[in-house]
Amino acid sequence: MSSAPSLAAAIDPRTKMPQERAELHQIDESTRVLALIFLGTSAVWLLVGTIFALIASWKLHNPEFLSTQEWLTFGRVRTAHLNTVIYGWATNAGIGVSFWLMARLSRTLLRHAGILYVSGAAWNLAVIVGTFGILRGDGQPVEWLEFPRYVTPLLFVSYALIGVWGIITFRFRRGEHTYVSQWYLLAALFWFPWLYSIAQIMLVFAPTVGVIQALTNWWFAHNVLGLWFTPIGIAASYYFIPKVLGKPIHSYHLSVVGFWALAFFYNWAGVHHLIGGPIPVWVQSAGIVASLMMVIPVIVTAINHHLTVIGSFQQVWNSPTLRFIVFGAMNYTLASLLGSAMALRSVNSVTHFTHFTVGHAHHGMYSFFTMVMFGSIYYMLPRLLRKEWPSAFLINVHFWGTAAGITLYVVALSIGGWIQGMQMNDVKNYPDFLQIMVATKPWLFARTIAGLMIAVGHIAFVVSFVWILIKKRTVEETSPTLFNTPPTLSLKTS
Amino acid sequence: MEWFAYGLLALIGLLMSASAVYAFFWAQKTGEFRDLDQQARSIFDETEPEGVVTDRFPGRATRASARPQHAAAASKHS
Repeated sequence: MSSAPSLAAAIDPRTKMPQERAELHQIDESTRVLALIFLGTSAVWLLVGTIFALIASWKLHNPEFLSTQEWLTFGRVRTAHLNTVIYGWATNAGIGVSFWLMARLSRTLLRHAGILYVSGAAWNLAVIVGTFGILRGDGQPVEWLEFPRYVTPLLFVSYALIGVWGIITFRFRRGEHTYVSQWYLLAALFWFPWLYSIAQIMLVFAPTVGVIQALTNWWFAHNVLGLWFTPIGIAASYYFIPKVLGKPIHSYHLSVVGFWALAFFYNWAGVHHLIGGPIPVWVQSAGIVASLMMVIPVIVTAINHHLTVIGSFQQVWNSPTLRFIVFGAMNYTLASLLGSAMALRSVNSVTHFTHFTVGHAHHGMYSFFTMVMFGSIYYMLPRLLRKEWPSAFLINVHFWGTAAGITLYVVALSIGGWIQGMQMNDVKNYPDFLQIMVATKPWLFARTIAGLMIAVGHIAFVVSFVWILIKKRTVEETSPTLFNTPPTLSLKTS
Repeated sequence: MEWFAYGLLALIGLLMSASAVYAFFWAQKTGEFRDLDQQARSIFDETEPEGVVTDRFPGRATRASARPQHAAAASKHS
């Protein structure tokens, strides 16, 4: 790897690609600092976001809690939760995992990562300032884009650099084939700057008026999930499931169909957030059709994930990575099919404006995406640090706390939200609105309990994370997780 | 001025769509859709070949190593 091209040459499209195929452990080494920056900060944001979540959740059944300070009122704390978990935890983790995957699948070293360190620092600085801005009351009144306008340009620039660098890493690929995960990653890295910049311009810097605003808002908010987080989550599961099990995915043909179906259909689906709203009916119908078309890529992905796993459940259970990722993949299928069903007008008239939608959002972002990221981190860190995870017990606590917690969360809010929706639609025996609200309290309390279980899991995860960082590397580490002991291991331990 | 900005945004949107279509045809032309069964194996190599499980719970190596064979036999019968 001596003939690494210079920074200018890396960007120049005329540069010839290096011919050597890097070894996996060399690739892991080249991404180590970058992955640790992004994964480390993501773990911190995960805890911060969890604290905001617990405060907000408690306030919903005990509104007097912490209500004397204006910066701790529900509107700000809940918004701070959303933005810290989306831009702090999920995006940082997603970037860390993406770069590692991209370098590995492209069989190339990560080059000139210095720019990425700077943009990673800038990104996290912007999230810190933005979170303080929200707590101060500077937030923008646009869902998923609440960061105040003085930090969003910094977010955009640092992200754009990250996206470009992912694509440059792909350019230096040495594989003969673009694996399906690479398609997903490329798409995600390429689409997110577009989504973010358009939404910023049309909603914050040169705001449109009327229904266009609402349309742009939900186009962005839904596409962040579908064109940024989902592709990363699917890319990771398409890599880790076959990689850990040591068998290729069930049907590679279908995986290719799935990617292109997502690329062509997803963009319209966000309109289903506005069904029944004052926007043209044809736009709503187009959104519903797109949401139902998403059944194709979802079923295709489901067939691949689940049929690859069938017959190997014992290995799944024995692998920390796959426990999380298979849990995530199962919930991807469930959450996506439910999401398509929720776009139907008859279902939507019940679930809209209820806690059902909140449960569904967490089903997608947590049960699927976050769990897949946890699984990926369990695979990556031992290889990046060349150490084994210190404690199987902590991994178990993490898995059971989060898996049971999020399941309780989604089930409680789905049932409670459905009841709430039925009561609100029951115009003949319409009770006092306040009664409907009071009736949701037990479900909201169940949500707080679920949140506490998840928080226990997160603490176990962060303890594991810090422990593996600081623990000493032992030469006789038998490395069941670290299957491929690199030849340099014995030289570097001291 | 406003319409100029929206026109520009619409143009960028069209370019994004066009890039997806271009990528699709590029993939077709460069043979990304050919020989897919072999391509699915591109994540394995000499150091981590097909058939090797690469992740386990820490400290469970001995217990785990007995199990995959059992599971593999089960999957063969199914």
